[in-house]
Amino acid sequence: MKIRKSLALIIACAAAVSVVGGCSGSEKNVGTGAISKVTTTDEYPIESNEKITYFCNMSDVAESMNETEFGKALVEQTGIQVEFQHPTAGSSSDSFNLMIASGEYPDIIENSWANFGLSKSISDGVAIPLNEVVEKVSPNFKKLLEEHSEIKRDITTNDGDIAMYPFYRGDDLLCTYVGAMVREDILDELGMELPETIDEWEAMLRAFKGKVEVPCYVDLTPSKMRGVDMFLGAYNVDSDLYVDNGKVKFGPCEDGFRQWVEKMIAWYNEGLIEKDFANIDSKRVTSLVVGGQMGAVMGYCGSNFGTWLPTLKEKNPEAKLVPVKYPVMNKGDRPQFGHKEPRVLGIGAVISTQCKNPEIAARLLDFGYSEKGHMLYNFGIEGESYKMKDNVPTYTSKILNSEEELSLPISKALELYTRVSASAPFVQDKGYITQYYRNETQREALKIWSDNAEEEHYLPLVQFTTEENQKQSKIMSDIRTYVDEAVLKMIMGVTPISEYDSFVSTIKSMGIDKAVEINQKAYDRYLSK
Amino acid sequence: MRSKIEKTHQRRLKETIFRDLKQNGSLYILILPVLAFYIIFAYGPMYGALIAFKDFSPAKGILGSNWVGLAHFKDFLTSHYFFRLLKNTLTISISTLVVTFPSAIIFALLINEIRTKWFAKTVQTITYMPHFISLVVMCGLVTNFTSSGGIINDLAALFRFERKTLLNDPRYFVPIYVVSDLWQHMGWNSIIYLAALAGIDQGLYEAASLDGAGRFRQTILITIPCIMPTIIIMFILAVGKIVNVGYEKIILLYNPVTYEKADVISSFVYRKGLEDMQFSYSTAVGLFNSLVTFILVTITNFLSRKYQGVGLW
Amino acid sequence: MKLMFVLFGTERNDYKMLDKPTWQQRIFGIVNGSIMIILMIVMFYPVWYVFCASFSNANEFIAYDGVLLLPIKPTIAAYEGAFRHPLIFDSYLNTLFIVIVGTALSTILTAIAAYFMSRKNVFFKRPISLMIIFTMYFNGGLVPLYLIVKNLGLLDSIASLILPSLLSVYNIVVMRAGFDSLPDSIEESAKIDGAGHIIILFRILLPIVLPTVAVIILYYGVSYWNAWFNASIFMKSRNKFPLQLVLRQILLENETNEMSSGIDTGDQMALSETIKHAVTMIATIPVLCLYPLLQKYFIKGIMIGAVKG
Repeated sequence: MKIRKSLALIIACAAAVSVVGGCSGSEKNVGTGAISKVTTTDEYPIESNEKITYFCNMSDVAESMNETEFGKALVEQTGIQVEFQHPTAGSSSDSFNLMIASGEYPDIIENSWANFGLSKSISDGVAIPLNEVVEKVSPNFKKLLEEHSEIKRDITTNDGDIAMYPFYRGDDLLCTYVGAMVREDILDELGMELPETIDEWEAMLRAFKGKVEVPCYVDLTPSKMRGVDMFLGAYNVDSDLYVDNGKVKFGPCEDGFRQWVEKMIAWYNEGLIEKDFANIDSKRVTSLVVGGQMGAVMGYCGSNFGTWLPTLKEKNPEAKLVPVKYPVMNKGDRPQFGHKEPRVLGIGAVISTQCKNPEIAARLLDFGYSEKGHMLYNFGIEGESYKMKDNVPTYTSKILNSEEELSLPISKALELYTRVSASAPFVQDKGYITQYYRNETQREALKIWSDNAEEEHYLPLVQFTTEENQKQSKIMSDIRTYVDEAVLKMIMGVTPISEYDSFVSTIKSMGIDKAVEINQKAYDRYLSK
Repeated sequence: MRSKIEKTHQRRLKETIFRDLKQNGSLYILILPVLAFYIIFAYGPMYGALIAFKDFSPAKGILGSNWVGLAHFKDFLTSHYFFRLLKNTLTISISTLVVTFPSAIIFALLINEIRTKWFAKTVQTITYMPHFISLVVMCGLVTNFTSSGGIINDLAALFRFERKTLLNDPRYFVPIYVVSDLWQHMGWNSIIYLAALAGIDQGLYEAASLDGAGRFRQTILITIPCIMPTIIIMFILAVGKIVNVGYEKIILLYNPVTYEKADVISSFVYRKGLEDMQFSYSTAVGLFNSLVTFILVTITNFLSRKYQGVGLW
Repeated sequence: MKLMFVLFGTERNDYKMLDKPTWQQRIFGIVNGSIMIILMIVMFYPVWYVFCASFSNANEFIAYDGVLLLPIKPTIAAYEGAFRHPLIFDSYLNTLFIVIVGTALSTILTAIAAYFMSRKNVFFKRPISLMIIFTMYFNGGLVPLYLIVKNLGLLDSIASLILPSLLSVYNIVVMRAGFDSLPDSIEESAKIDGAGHIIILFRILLPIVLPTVAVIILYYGVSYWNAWFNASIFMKSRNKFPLQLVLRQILLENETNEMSSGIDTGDQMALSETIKHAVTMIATIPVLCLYPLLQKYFIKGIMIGAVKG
């Protein structure tokens, strides 16, 4: 299983997804006949003959978003004609770059701007600064910015221009989806409690030995642990660059990291963690978990535990996998590290320089942040994909039981009616995730796992200058390779831990100080925005 | 005097060309679509290689991006890992070449020796199949077989070897890589030789047989010389792939503990590309690879033309 | 007359059949046969594994660890899942069209290019050959190719899946090696009969190097069959996608860990594990049949050596 690898992948190339929107309470003005400038800006549908072209990701559930229930509803509710364009799944970053290189931009481009760079999108002439349209015709988005002023840092360029309408997670529950679960039934049998500290974990894993084939599976490759610190977090460091009280630090150079390595060496030698973790096939992890031969395991809440939990239950009704908190050093502490992504991920929609009528495009995008848009983006169409139950939007069986009713997996059924699983410009509602995870244990896991302070340590998407970027990326890619290799060799006993000092000095000689300095500068700029 | 000689030369050249066009005119017309293809789809985009010397930004376009000179080449060549990457790349590809190249030939020869036709056909068809199974599945099987509880360790345990995860030991990486390559592609690679064998004049064997040559001698004296031109051409083509070890299989099989033997140029660029856009950097690395390859191929081609009279050009 | 012999020559008896095998030959035959049987088993296993996985019960399959020898609790659920995909049939037709038209065009042009490169006494042969071979080692990358395809107006057309990959230098070189191995006398006698280049190439030479032609057809056929990358960037309309691209999307979407954008949206279904394998089977079986079809051209003795005399 390649949890961390995929995590890096996700963070690195998360490709944005779609949509559009706008709207709010008053619908009375149907057919004012005027273009947006004239009507008050919070009224939908507006009347416009303009066709907005919109580039965004979509799976192959339909030919294009124009064909989905969501797309139709969006056009109807906003009154704006939209023509969607989609890259092929798996080639979205190529498609995006080719589209940009071809010089013909659609009006709205949804993408992950982390790699391309928001500042660059404006300085290279792809996107327009949005300050004016946000001020004039995006009341809903403006309200969001006023309520959550921290968003602004993530969506403005170094020059202070607002560059995009972001995907925004409305709750911490939505920011966490990786964590560990343990076999509570075995613990009960042993008369043990769920572990909280490293020592309790150690005791538990020892007790698991002999009870199951593999006491614990967790990938200890540092580069794959970025932002997901299982045991390392208890030592108050991250495996890569992170922030500690406003200062950028590199984990492996810190003392805590060494203590963690020492502990992992001990556990590895004792056989407490899967020896093949660096090369294990995801199929084998699955077979160990559902075969009941795994004591504790780290995984994705949806794609791993979503499959494991029901299958394990079916194979062994007694077995009970339950989520555990990220471990700490002293009992009662709150985990300082763990898995929690920022609420703004660098994903969002920009209005291109070739857009003839930016105000219409802006209104389309603003719809996503309005009340009506919120419902459409998150839950779809009332009466079809959701119903209000006690004032809470609840997905209908069309969604929750989609395999039978629509012959589609739930993720695709949601794609037909909503854009909630896509990283579109809107505020994601936690009501989605609590229903999407159909298993009670998964829902509980979110609560337990998200109880950590990772957000205080996450290095946000800072913006580098071209020169800075080139320099730090060269230094960091060499160092990450080195750290992965050296750390795993120590854990697996190929090199002794006594080499640790020379390990740190090698990192220094490879230029870590320079890279940290560059990141610190960029981080300071970020904070001062 | 000199100008006179030059003039004569020019005139001769003109005459030669004129005669050539007259004689082979229809041939040139035939080749036109082929030339058009290469001019449009191969030479047309060639200017794209310029981005190796630029800081490519899709929005500014290939020609509009800023020049950075040799910065990307410098980045790559001065990387902490440059020599290791180059060494590993060459070790893996040369080992693969040395093992798989002759294997395909020997395999084709062995199939050729099978007397029962249906059996020969079955062998060919079956051994050609794994070529079409995706790398992910193949590498999943390899990982499984070589794990400490896998079938290879089961066999080794019979001989009282200690169980261990073979893919965690750098020493085994190259052998595993090469053997799995053989496993997946040997049948497919042998097809071209089977075709060459099918083209051999059967009369030659008859004559040799009458002269009392046994089958082994016939193979040495007739079969191999007859397919030699094919072998040489395939060899030169294979040399052209020496610097290019694809990253897909590497990243499916390696892990940080085996980096010292397994990390190659392409996998390094791949990891780097996960972090930021690397159009220019990967183009620079590609161009570097192309240059090395082209030099190697030119040398091989020269040698082969000199000693065997066969070459790519 | 010799020419007629070349074109319509009959297959000769395998000389070896006439000999009585010596005991060494018998031992060799047994050893050789055994090696082949072992190789067949080893090499068939991956295909068999995918086959078994695709017919296994998903929950049982994901819980199983070890060497898979038979489908576990056989079911066709995975195939039902795979065929539920709306684009499977359209894309099958698209791929068939691309493979047939593409392979035909490619093979003809490859034959022409190889024929040209194998001529002697052609003044511009070397520069042109070099120019063609050069492209095997240097290319301009994706962006300019995309722009050219776009400027030619080929985006989103089936032609964009054939034209940019029409010729492979590798195959031209292989084909040329086939022509080079022929004696000059064949061509000369044809020329005396007054045949032009087209006749010589298509009526005389190609039938003689039929095994090589079969290899070229196989190479092109397989590469068109397996191609997906160009389609993923040149095609916009999903109903024009080739099979491999559709299958790739199914694989990517069912890839539990490595997809998703920002949130963890992989399908929470054990079935996706077996669907992946069903999809592989669907995409692979037709191409596995291609080889047996072409195999008859690999039989010894089609080319008649006697023409040499």
